[in-house]
Amino acid sequence: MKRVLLVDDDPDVLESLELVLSFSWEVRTALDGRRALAVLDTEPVDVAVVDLIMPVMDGEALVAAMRARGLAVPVIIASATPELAERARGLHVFAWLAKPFTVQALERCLMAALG
Amino acid sequence: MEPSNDQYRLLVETAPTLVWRSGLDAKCDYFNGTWLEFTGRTMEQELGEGWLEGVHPDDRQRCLDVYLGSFAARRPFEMEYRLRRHDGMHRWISDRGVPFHAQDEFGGFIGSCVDVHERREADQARTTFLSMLTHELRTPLQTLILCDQHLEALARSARPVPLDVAQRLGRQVERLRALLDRAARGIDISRGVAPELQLADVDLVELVARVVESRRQRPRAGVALELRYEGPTGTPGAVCVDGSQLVQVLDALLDNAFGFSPEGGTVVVGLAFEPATVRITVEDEGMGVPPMELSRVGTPFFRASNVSPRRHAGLGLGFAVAREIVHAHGGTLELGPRSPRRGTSAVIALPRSGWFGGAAS
Repeated sequence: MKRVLLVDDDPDVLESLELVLSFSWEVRTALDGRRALAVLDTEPVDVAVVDLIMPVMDGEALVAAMRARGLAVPVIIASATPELAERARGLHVFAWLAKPFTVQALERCLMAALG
Repeated sequence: MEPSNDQYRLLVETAPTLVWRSGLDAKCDYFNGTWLEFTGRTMEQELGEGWLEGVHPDDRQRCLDVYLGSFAARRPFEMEYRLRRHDGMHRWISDRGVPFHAQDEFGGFIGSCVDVHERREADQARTTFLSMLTHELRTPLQTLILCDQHLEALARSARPVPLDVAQRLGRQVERLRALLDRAARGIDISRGVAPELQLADVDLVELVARVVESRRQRPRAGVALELRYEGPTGTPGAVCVDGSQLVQVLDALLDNAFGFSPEGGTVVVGLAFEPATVRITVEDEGMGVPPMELSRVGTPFFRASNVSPRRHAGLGLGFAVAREIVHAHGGTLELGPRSPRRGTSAVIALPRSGWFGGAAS
């Protein structure tokens, strides 16, 4: 089973994502960028789904920190703020997924990220 | 009778608009008294291209391009840019320049400017508000969509619905309801409609304790914080207030205090009974509000300039709504720096009895 890291500061969104993905994925979750880095320090993941607006360490800072550590994990940005899409493009992430999205859209994106 | 040249000059010098003129070389050779008063600089400093020093560095090139482009084409222009006022603040102004002619010969440009700072800020605040509102709507909608799809999958395989999924759905409905209520209150405030109060004798010690306890049950995701109460515990402190609206006030202040607190920070809720006043304080160790902006906190949809929209979602309404409710009680709600330590202190002062600013009548 492939391992996915979900990063979102909204516990309800995070738990719902975990719920729908847990049948076919090994799921790890983090409520902000710093906690996500702690997960990445302990075990490898195949793909990460990252929210942008988060306290402590936002999505942009997390992606930058992952790059700085040489982690080549494909990142899918899942955000409810389309105004930030342009900015996110500069991060060179694998994909942008606009919230709200369906389970099918997320799964398609995850599969594509795995190549 | 036509006005004389002196009368025209007087009109230009004392007009509420900022007036400038340039000659054939495109360099400015005149500024009226209103311009010089606004910038706090002398005519000598402004002449030629001196005025550009007052234009905000981010706007300078664009400003110059528009001006010189229009000058070369001898076509009127209209543009907005930030100009430094005498107090150092950059204000948005709208500048309209037109070519003028003397004895049918092109003589240069003459322009007039008005301060449109408030309008620009209101436009910005509205854009930010709409952006935040849609963000706040999409987040619970995301959970609703995922849970809905999950429920459908469960139903298809005739499996029972777990209680926590049903509860999560209920929470999203409540979030959406609260969001709409708050937005509606913001619109009321903008229209000058005061909140209606349902007054009753309320035990404030119990009310504050209840709000604090409920907050302890739902800590902010991802951030460890301490929440402390400082005040009387056993003694009943009955005051005539609208209890449920006062809970909203405290919740809004705690939302801010928690939202902007650093990891490991402490939020202190204080309650003190004075002879004529009850004082409730909420103090945090967050970044605080820039002193220049303190007077504007409480304006609906205003968000302080040091609030990163990438770390803090919000409508800019919580404090505005809270202040309106406290005012309707005949009280005050002030925000200030927390001294001597870093952070913000919000102080509610409510009259212990008597006058309610007409809200009770």
